[in-house]
Amino acid sequence: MNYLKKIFAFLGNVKLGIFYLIVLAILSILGSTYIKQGETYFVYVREYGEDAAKIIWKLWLNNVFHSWYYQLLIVLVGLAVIVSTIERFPNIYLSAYGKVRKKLTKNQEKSINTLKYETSLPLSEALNRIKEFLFDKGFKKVEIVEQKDKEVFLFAEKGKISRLGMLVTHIGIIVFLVGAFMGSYFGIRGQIEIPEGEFRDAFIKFREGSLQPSMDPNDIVKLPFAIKVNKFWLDYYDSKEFKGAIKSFNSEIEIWKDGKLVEKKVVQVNNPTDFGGYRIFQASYGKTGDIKYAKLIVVDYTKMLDLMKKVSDVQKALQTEKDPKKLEQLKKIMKGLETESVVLFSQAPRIDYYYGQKYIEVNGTKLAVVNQTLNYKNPMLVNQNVYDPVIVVSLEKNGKRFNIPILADPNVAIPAFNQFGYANGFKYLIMIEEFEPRYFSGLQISKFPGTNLIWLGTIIVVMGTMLAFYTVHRRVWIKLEEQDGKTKVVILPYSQKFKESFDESIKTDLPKYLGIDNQKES
Amino acid sequence: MESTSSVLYRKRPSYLQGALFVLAVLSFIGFVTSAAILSHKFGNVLLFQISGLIYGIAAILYITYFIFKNEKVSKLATLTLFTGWVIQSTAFFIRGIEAYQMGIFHPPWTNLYESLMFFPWLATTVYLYIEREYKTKAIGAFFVPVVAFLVIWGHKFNTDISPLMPALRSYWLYIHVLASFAGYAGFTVAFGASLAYLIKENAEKDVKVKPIYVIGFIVSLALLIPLGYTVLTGAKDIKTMILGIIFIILLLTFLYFATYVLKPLGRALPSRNLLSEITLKAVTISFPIWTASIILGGAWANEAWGSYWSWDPKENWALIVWLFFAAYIHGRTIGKWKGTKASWIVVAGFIMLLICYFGVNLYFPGLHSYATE
Repeated sequence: MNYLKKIFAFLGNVKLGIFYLIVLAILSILGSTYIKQGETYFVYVREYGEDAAKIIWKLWLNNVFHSWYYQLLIVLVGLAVIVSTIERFPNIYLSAYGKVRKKLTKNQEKSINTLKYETSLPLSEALNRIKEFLFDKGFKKVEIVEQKDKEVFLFAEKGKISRLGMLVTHIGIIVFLVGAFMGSYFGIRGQIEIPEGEFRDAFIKFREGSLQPSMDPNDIVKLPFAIKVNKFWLDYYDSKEFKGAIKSFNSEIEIWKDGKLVEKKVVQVNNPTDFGGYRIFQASYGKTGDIKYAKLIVVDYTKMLDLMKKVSDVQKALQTEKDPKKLEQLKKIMKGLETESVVLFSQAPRIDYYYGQKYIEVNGTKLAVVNQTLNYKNPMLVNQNVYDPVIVVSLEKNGKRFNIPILADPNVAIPAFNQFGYANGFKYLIMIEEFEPRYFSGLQISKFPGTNLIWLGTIIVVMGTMLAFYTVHRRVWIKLEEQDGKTKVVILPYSQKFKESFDESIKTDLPKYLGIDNQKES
Repeated sequence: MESTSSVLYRKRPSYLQGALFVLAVLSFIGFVTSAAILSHKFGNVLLFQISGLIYGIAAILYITYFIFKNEKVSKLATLTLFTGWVIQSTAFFIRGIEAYQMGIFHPPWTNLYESLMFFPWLATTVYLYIEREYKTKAIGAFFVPVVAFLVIWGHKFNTDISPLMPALRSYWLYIHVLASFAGYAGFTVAFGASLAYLIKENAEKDVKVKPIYVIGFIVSLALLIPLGYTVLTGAKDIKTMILGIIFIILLLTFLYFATYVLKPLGRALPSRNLLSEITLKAVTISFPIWTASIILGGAWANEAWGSYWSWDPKENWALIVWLFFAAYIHGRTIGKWKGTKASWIVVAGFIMLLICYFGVNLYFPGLHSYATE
């Protein structure tokens, strides 16, 4: 029994607690340096060499916060919190809420903390002034403990509740730790990239201690539902100075369960959605490299060739013609041709193409979409907003199947059409006039049981520390005594903390209330 | 005796004077703000620079007071510091309005420059409160030069207002960052008081200042300046980190020797008990705020980053700071460590705070890396 008590006292010891806190801090430092956490063994070998990597691995320096020693220490801290609270709190409670002798005793009067003043004010006036003083110091009520003709005893108290701060804070810590361990052991977190219009019903877990998706195929987590990204879009700042600066990004998602649509939501940065215990975050985005939408312009190539021939004829004539009258006429014709070509393009029919479409229909001819991409020259440049889009279509004509590229840049598009389309007998030049990239939406998905305990625990901790530190338990015992027309004031202040400033404020302020010029302390 | 009841209740005091003063300050801020916005003649950065200059003057006045103990200088020092504070407050308003006019409104505490303005501003607020509460100005001689340095040095960084990245666009930005900086400010005051305590202690004990202390003081100071410059401007690599570790050890060495060498200053400092209590008060005011700031960050992360906690460097260092000050509080209140031990824990905690603020922003890659410029 005695032995147990000793262990108990040891575990609840403040010095041990402080030791734990400092050690925990030092271990946290180990996990927050340049040694990146949660990498694979191979990465450490590459960065630091074989031997250092071995040390890192053996000492868990690659994953300090999930190491056995870190977790053990947290358990020990939790234990110390519980034991010290049980050991200490009853006494603290009693000293605040237990019985207090409210009358200043002779012994207290002799204490070195006692302050003594003498004022020429009569007793009743001095009493009033002292009441005023105590009210101004934040005491809500002043008790007259005993009142005789020439003697009055006062007692005032405030902030008893401050003493509960330690208990409340420690309870909060325990609640929080329970929540944190639940999250740590049963929580999962990962990500998935879903292209617009597609479904996914699984995500890739992050490597432990890292925010990178795991490479291990076992770390693919099946969801009890499927997510479809209907649409993804970017929001931009409405600002002249910062045109094109991205303000936010959004996905319209659908949750499907057992083949049925159950929920439709928009997730944005800073605005996740919850479903079935999982939380779905808008984390990143990117381009798939596909064309989501394109507006195609269809030009009658024979008409265009005809027009081009006329233009070049007139141009030639313009260069050789000397007669100013005829020159004027030629210029007029040229203008007319220019207008005609503008009309040819502006009135050419437009057709829409959407990602996934199998055919493009041009004046009754069905062109099969073979392929499409945002940048056929260098697909990597797409993420820097450099595009060279192409849609490759194929058709059969005169028993021959051939491909035609649909391009955006006329300088490339026209010769290409000439070679692949017109040469094979297809009459319509198709070009990309406008297009939009297809995005994928990067979603983070996590499930952390115990999150509510985290909030509850931490709110309790904040309340507890505020209780402990923003309120002060204070008491004053006062005796007023009338002697030879003067009033003697004996005051014993007690302050659980900030004693110095409390004493100081009494020493500087009380004489003013009592009308004493020179601070007279006996 | 007119009172027959044995319990007396307080009367409401008058707040008129205080209200008038606040009104006067607010109308000054309002006037300068509208002048800046309407005239387009000056902007927030100029006002920040002016406030830095005024802080510089205030620092000189505080040091003058510390040496010569002239009451007039003391009043002037406080007045100057307060003037700098008011002008800096105005600059924040103007910066906010300017951002709004650009169509990219965000509160003025989102990048390194803004935080280097905001942190000294809040610290000054806390300091002015403590100066009033404890009626002691000696700490100002240590504190105000640091404020002046930070505000002036901050102008080395990009002062432009730029749009926020999407993840930062949240109402949590207001409270989380505000709470963090309030914590930074309070812990900084605690550090100042602790250092003063250590100096005072050596002064009261009248320890002998051995030549080795003076040499150590001079050598570490001489090394600190170039090393500090290298670390603060260096590349974000492992070499800089190792230099950073050396810098921190050197800083501790310097502070250790400083507590001896600066012994003569001890006479001008308030009593040890008072300094110890100022430390406690600053820490205990800041601690719940710091705790709240970590939690608010967690709540934000739970909406933006996929989890309430990601073991991100900033989060870890915030936790480390929390642990250090929790250790201090336990030692100070239950362990009754009023003196040296508690003071050194605060000093160590403050160095952790510096890493949390500068170190993480400048060197550790992580989720909080937007605060680099």
